[in-house]
Amino acid sequence: MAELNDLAVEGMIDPEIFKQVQNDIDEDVRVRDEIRGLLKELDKQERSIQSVLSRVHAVPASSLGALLASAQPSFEKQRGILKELEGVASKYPYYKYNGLWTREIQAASYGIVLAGWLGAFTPENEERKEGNLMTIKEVGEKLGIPVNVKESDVFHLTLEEYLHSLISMIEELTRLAVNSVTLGDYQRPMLISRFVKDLHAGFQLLNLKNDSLRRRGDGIKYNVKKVEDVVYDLALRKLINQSDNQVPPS
Amino acid sequence: MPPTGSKRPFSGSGGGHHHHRSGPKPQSHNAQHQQQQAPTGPYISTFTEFRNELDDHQDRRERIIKASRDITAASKKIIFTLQRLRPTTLPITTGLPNNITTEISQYESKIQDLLTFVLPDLQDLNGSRWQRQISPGLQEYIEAIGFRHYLLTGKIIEWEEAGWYVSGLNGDEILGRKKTDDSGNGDKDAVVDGGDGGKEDVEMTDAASTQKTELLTTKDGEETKEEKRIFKGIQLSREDYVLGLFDMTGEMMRFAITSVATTPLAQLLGTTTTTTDPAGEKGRKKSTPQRLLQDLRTLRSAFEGLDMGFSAFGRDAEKKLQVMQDSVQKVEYAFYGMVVRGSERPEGWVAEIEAGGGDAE
Repeated sequence: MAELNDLAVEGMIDPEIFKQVQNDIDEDVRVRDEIRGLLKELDKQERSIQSVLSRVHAVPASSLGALLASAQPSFEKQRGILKELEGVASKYPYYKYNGLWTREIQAASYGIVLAGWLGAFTPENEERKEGNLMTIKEVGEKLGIPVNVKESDVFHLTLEEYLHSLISMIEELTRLAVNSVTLGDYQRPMLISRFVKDLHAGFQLLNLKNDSLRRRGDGIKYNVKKVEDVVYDLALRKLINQSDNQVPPS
Repeated sequence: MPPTGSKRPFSGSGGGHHHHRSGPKPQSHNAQHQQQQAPTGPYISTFTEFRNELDDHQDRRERIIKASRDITAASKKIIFTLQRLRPTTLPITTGLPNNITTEISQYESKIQDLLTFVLPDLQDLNGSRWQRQISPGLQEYIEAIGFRHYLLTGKIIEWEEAGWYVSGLNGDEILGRKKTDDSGNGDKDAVVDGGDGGKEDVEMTDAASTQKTELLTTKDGEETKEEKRIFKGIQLSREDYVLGLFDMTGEMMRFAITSVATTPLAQLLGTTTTTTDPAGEKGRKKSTPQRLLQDLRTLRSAFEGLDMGFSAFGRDAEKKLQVMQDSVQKVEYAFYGMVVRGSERPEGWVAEIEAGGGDAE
C-alpha cells in the first residue's frame, strides 16, 4: 500500500492504519482457510462414522457389537483432528470462528451420543447395553475436547451444540424404532419410546429463544408420537406385553 | 403485572429470569404449575441446569442488545450536535464551543455508563460470543468520536485510541476532559497510586481496577472475602473500527454539503482546486468544504485499496464502500453546482441555513 503515502495528503491518514487493517483481514482469511482445511478432514471421519452407524437399522442386535467396534478407528482419527482444530482455534477468540465448525462439531457429538446409546462404549468386561444417554461431559471425554466452557476463551463443545446432537439422535432413534420391528426386535421400540419421552420432558423445560434449536426442539413431539404409534401397533397385536412399557418413573 | 387470581411467588432474587417477551409458546411448566405435577424423569435435573444456563445467556444477550441500541441512539445525538458546527476552516484548532461540548458530554456520559454496565457481560468468552450484539453500538460510537476527532484534528482516529474510548474503563477520564481533544492522553487523572512509567493501557486498567477495589473493600482493607473482579475492557475489533470509519464518511459528506451551501462562493473555491498540487501551500487555507472534499477523496482511495475478503465483514464493507463512493460523488456534485450556478448569484450571497453551533473561528 505504498501509494497511500502519496494519498495521505497533509497527513490525514496515517498509512499505518490501513496497512494494519489489511494485515488483519489477510490474517483472518488465512485462519479461515486453515480451519476449513481441518474441517474437511473432520467431515470425512464423521461420514465414515455415520456410514457405520446407519447400518444399525439393518443389523440384528446380536451382531451390533462387531459393527460398533468397526467405527472405533474413525472415532480415533476424529479425536486426532479435533485436537488439531483445538490447537488452531484456541489461538483466536472462540466465537469469532465458531460458525465455521459448529455443524461439524454437532455431527461429531451426534456420532458419540448415538454410538453411546447403542452401547458402543460399554466397558469390555460388561455386556453391551442400549439406552444410555451420554452426558455432555462424557461426550467431551470421547471427543477429547473441553465442554460447555463458561469463562476462558478456548475451543470447546457448547451446550447448544450438544443439545442439537441430542435432537439428531432422537430423530435417528425414531427411525430405528420402526426398523427394529422389521428386524423382529419388539423390545427396543419400547426402550426408545421411554427414552425419547424422557428427553422430550427435558427439552420442555428449556426456554429456547427463537433460533434453530427452538425449531428443532419443537419437532421432538412428532418423534415422540411416531415412536408411540409403533409401540401402540405392537401392543394392539399383542406382540409386546404392554405392562413392560409401564416402567415406573425413576 | 396484572393481578391474576392466584399470586405466585416469583422468586425475586436479584432481577431473576423474568421473561416479558410476548413470544409464542408460554412455557407450560411454569404457567400450569398448580394443575400439573412437576415433571419427572431421569433427565429433569440435568435439563433444569441447562435451562438456567440458557436463561443466563439469553438475559445477557438481551442486556447487551439493549445497551447497544442505547449507545447507538446517544451516539447519533453526538453526531447531530457536531453537524451543527459551522467552522470556516478545518480542523477546528480552537476546540469545540462550550455549548456543544456540554451537550456532547451529556450523551457521552450515558454511553460510558452503558459501556461500564455491560462490561461484566463481555468478559472472556462472552466478549467474542456477544460481539455481534454489541457491535452496532460500538460502530456508531466510533462514528461519533471519529467524526469529532476528524473535525478537531483533521485526522482519522487510530484504532488504539478508538479502542480506548469503547473499552468501558475510561469513562471518568473521557468525561473529565473538558476539551475533548484526544491527541494527548492526560493520564495523570487516571493513575492515582499505580506505579508510573508503564504502558498507557496497563495504567488505564490499573486505575479502573483500583476503583472497583474501593467499592468492594470494607474498612478491613484488602481482607474482604468478596471476590474482586478485575474487568477487562471491551475489545474493539478491527472490523467494527473500519465499519465505524466507513459510516463516518457519510457524516463528512453531510457536513460538506451543508458547508458548500453556507460558504460564499469566493471563499468556497479560495484556491484553485482543479489543478492544485496538494503539497504546494498556496498561502490561503482551504475552505471547510474544500478540505472535506479532499479528505473524502483520500479516504475513498484508501478504502478502495483494501481487499476485504469474503467474510461477513467483507460483505458489510463492500456495501458500505458503495455508499461511501456515492457520498464522495454527492459532494463533488455540490461543488459542481456551485461553480456552474454559483456565478449567477449576487456577490456574497449565502444560503440561509441556521448556523446553530456557531463558528469556531
